[in-house]
Amino acid sequence: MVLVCASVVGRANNPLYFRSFLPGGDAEILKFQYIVHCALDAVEEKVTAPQRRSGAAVESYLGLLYPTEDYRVYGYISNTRIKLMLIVDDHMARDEEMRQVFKKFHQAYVDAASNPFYTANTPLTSKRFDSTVTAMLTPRT
Amino acid sequence: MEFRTQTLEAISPVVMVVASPEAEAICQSQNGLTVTDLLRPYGFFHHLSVPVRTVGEHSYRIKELRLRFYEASAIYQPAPKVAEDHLCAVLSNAATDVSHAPDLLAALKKGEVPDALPWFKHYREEYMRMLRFSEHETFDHPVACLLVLSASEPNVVQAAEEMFQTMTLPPALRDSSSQATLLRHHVLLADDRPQPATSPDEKLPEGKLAEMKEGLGDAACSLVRINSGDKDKRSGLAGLWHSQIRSPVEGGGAGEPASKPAMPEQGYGAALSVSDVDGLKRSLEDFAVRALIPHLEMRVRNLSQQVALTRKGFKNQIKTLLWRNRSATSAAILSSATSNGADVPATPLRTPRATTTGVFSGLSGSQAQLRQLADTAFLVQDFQTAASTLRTLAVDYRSEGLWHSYASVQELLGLASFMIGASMQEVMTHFKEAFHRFSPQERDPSRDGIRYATRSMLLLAQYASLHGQWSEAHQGLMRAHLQEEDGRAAVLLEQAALCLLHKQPPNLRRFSFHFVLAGLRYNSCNLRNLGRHAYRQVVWLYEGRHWAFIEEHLHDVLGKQSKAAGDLHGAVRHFLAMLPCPRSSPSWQSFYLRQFLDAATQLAANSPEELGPLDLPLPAVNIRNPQVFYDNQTCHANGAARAVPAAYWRRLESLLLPGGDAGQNWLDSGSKTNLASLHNEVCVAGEAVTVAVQLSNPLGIPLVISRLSILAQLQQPEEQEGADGSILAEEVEVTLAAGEAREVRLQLRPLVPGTLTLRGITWTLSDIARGERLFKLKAASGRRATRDQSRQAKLVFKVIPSAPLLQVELLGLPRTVAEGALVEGQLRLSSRGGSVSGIRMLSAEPDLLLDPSAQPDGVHEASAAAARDQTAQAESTASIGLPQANVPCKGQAFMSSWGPDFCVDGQSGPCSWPMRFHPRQPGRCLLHLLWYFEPRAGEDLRFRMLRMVHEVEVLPSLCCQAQLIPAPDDLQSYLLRLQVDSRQEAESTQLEELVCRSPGWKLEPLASAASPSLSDPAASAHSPPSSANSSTEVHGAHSSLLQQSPDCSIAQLQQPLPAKLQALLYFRLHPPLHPTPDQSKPDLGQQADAAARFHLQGQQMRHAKAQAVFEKQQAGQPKSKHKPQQDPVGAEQKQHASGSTPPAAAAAAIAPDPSQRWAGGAPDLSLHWHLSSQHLHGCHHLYKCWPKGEAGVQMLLKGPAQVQHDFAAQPLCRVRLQLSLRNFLSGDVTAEATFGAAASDAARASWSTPGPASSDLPACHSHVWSGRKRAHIDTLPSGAINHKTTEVLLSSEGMHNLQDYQVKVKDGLLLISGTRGLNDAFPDFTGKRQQLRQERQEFNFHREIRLPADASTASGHVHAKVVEGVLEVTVDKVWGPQASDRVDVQF
Repeated sequence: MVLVCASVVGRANNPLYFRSFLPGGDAEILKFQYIVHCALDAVEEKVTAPQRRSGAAVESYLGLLYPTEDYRVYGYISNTRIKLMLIVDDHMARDEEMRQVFKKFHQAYVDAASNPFYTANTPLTSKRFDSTVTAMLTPRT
Repeated sequence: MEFRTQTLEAISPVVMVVASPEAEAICQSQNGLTVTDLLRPYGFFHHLSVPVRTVGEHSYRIKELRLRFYEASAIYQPAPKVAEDHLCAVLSNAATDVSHAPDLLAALKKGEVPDALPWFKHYREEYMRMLRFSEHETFDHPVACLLVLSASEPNVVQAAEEMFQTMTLPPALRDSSSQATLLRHHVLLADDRPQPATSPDEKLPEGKLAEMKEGLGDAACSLVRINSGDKDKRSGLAGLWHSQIRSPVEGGGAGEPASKPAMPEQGYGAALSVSDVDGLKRSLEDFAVRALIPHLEMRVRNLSQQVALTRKGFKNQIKTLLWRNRSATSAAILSSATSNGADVPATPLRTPRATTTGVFSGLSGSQAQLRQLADTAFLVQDFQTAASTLRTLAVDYRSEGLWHSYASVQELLGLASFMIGASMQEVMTHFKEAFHRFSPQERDPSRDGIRYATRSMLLLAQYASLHGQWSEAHQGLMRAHLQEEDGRAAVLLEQAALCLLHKQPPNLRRFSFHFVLAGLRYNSCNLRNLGRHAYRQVVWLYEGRHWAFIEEHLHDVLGKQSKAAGDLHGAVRHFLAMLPCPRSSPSWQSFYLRQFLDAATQLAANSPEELGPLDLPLPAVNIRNPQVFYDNQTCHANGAARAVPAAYWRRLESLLLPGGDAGQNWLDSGSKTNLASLHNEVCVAGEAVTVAVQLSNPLGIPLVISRLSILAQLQQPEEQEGADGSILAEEVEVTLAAGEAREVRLQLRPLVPGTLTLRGITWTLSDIARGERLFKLKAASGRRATRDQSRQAKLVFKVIPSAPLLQVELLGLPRTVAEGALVEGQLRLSSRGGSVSGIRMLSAEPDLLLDPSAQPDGVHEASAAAARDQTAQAESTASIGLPQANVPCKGQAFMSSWGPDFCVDGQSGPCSWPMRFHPRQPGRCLLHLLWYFEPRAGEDLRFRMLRMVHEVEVLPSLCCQAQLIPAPDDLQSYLLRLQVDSRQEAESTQLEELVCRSPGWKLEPLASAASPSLSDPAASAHSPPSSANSSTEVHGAHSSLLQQSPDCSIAQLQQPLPAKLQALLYFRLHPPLHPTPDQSKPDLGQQADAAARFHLQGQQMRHAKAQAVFEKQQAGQPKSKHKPQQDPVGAEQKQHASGSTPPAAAAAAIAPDPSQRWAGGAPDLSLHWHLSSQHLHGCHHLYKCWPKGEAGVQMLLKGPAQVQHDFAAQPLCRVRLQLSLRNFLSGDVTAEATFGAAASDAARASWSTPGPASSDLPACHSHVWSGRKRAHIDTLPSGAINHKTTEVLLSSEGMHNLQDYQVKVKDGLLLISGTRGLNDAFPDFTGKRQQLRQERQEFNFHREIRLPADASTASGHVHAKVVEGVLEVTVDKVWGPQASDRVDVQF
């Protein structure tokens, strides 16, 4: 599994954190922003779909959201409607493996958001969070 | 349109039209139509009921039928390149004008999302047209031939035969067998126009028809009359042909000839009348019903029989199997030959023509028959036969690997399945299979099938979307676009995106992404208008959602394209949106800014009216919270005054306003004040309204902002409308550095009364682009909404007519001054806009002294007199009737009043008064001044308040500590120990004099300690004062520097004190012998000297403070009954330690006051100094100097220090001694003095002091006390002195140390005792036990020890204190007749 992009999207579907692990510069980030933005439609569909099924609870791990030609977007939603998205350059990613990665990613976000100096729903500029995410995801690249 | 209708329209019988030139001429000359075009609108027949029986036993009825008419010469498929060029031209035509395209944002809001974009429908039709007439799809092959001849033809039968023989057949019919199956029909076209005189032998059209019927058959001929209408009158039929006439492809083909006649001015079909059209319709219907349908019915039967002959039965199955094997072998040979590059025969085998994978098979053989059967059955609407035949054919093709033929069959099978009512899933499966098989495979990289694959997906998308399956439609189109060239891919992407909008809920984000991709594809194939349209449709979806990269990308592309297309307004708008890009590098930010400014400059040059005020994002403006400052009844002299909380000012105003103005409650105040005082949103014409706006520069480059001003609107009353220049707005230039945020204050002056509305701010960026932002105050929901509405209303002001305003200047007030300095300045009053009177001033701090009663400099007698006349009529209370200076108010505030007689006239210039400033605390000193004045003009404001704040930084100069010690040699006087620490950084301070301002006290220098001892405060060792250089003088009544009252006692010092050093000054203070008048309420105004006035002011403040504390304690006592009673002595100690000593009257009520020993209380001192470099005088005040510790009971044994005696003459020397005791305690005590042996043991145990070291006499102990050994003092009242006389007998010469006496003092339970030597008596009979108990609580203890450091040392007091874990012991030792000094002992 090759993780090429990690992002945190806020409640208002605004990007809070965006990190590309490919050396493409702004062009790569632009591409991934488009992809992650598209995947938000899939998140909404997945979140609202269970409500039609007699109030079944929404699982945090949303699974595959948006397959493109080259990448696949996986998603995770927290109880506070914060969306964690990972773009994977691998069509053979396993759900269980992705679930574990997302749990770590979520824990890193919770740590960063627990900072008393962090205002909720604002861009995450914490260097510690960035290094944590990088350390968490880089060994897999 | 339903999918069924579309299918029947797309797959319907094709009729080949062959018209003679004469017939074409008849048609074209009058109607602008070819014969084929003429027939096309009438090829649709509904309300039919034609029974048909094809292959089955049961017949069915055809209820509607469509015929497709094509010219024979145009029935072929154009080359792929030609087709692509044609399709590109279609898109290019669409791109020339995209203004008619729907606005998807508006459509989405209305819930009316279009099914497709306008150019998509046309493009799709053209795309389908380009793929018609393929050889493998026989439903596009002509089934009938319509020979059209002119009725003017002399021999119509012969002409028809010739025409049939010589006509150009389409490629699909060049096979003779196909030609034989063609149905032949003849139409005689008669021109009904009024003909010129014809030859008599010429037959009428009816005759020609009869002749034709006779020669060619009755059913195969018909007559059509046209041109009977009036060409000059519009027939109203022109619209029929607009949708039927297609643009020709270059070189012809695809059903249209290479060229077509231009549309005449009158429109198509101008010469056709209704009867012509009816006749034409009838003729074509007769042809369809009587000739074509039976023909097709028969053909299906024949084909079915042929198929049955060739495929049914065991023999045929074996044949088929063998044939398959042979065809597979030949395919292998062909493919190997192709791969080896060998020459391949043109047609090596008759059937199939080519058998490689991905190539269509030919139309011979059993599979061709099956295909023809299926297509013909489809045309005659026998869909079951068609579907079953296609399934059979699909199995054949699949088994042979003829994938393109198989895909074509699957495509038609999908349509046939739909027509026979199969499930949606089945229908879509056929289309998907067709797409899959048409798509280039890995083994076959050729792209021949891509066009057909895309057609399959277009059919699928159309079918799915018409049945609400938008996801399927989207997926199909997305699959198709991946392998298509840019233009078509863009069209497919747009259509796929629209499918997403129809989903529930609409997938807006994916829709926008598809449009972005479509725009990218359009731009790649140079269709920039369509690309720009695609981007513009979706850019709103990203705006304001913080997807910065996406926004920047879209605006960048749109801006550049708009600029290239000449749309400068659009370019400016998009470049503007790119400006706030804080994440970009400064170089990019600079580039974006330059790009925007260039576009704005061009736009301004081309059409200045279009470049109106822009919503510039640079600089960032906080429009939610503008701060508005304005003056009405309350005015502010400076910004610092506005920074002070309003509550503070209101508290001061309550002190300054007379009771009538303030009111007891809000009802009273409301009834007595005018309207202006009730509304905050009132400002005065001619006075500034200041708006503080937060500007910030989010970029990494500096921003130059010019002409920054407030946008405001002043609505004048109706009677005054029309006046110009009613607002004077200040324009400011600001340069914001990279990342800088700054508050900018903008001023605005409404010049006339009216209603002023502050709308926003406007500015010019880099002197080019004009921007404006309107204020939008914070909005809230729910219950706070009303409050926010009122907040919005704060930007609306009622402007009242102008009123006079008092202007105050404090001249000579420095920004930085030393603590204790006496600064002389000038107060200057003037007025603007008229005269003001009734001036009062309240100073919240006691550091400023004014004297309004003095004659001002520059006041004009005339104005003063006029003011007097006017104010004589006004009411004036006794308190404000006369000029008053510095009347104390509540707290530390002081009020000065100029009286009602005084008037400041705006015309006569300013008036000045002397002013003195004396800061007494180091740090930041804020002078809060509140002015009350009454304008003499204007009815709206009866009075106004002016708030002023001046800030002065007070630097520390000196630190003075005074300590009183009971004089060891005199029970009446005290020693004053004055410690002065210099806090100056570099400059030395000249200590000038010390003034004792308490009446009756006398200040006297100590002879041996007159010179101050200088030491470094950092050093711990202290040197005793030297006894040289006495320069202290004592003045009883007058000083050259100061004008003192006669009660003052002054000691001149004239001693420089270098910076950062310490001086110790010693004086003797004599308390007054008689009580003096109470000076607790001195009159400050009568004091001439500023220092004295400030000193007395300080006394007054202390008194007021003590009074307040006392009242507070009195009020709190009933509540604190359960609390342990506070020790009065302890309380006194604490008060003394904190430096806040209550006055005698107040303190006496709290606890027995030791200061009552002095009439008039403890002494007050002033130390005057001078800084020569700054020409600055100053003084420090020391109030209520107390003796350190409790004096208790003091005793003094007095006698001669040296006695000359002749022991030879008299063996005993009798020396008279006097023992004096003074009671400083608050209660009476009893005392007992014991002399001689009874006291000697205790005395020796406690005090073993050698004699003075300077003496050269031997020590001697041979003395005898004479007289009574015990002396009792029954009652020693508080403050009283008792003297006891005794004698001592000395028998030898030498130094006699008289230690063997003891005095015991008894005060209730307290027994204290002590003893001292002669003349150095300083026993401290304080309540030691009591103090011990108390000080233990404070980690102090107090004991007596012996100090062997000096011979004259007799006793010492040790103070120990635990400070942060370190035991610090301080020893006070007594220096006999001299003062005391401190020795710090660290353990």
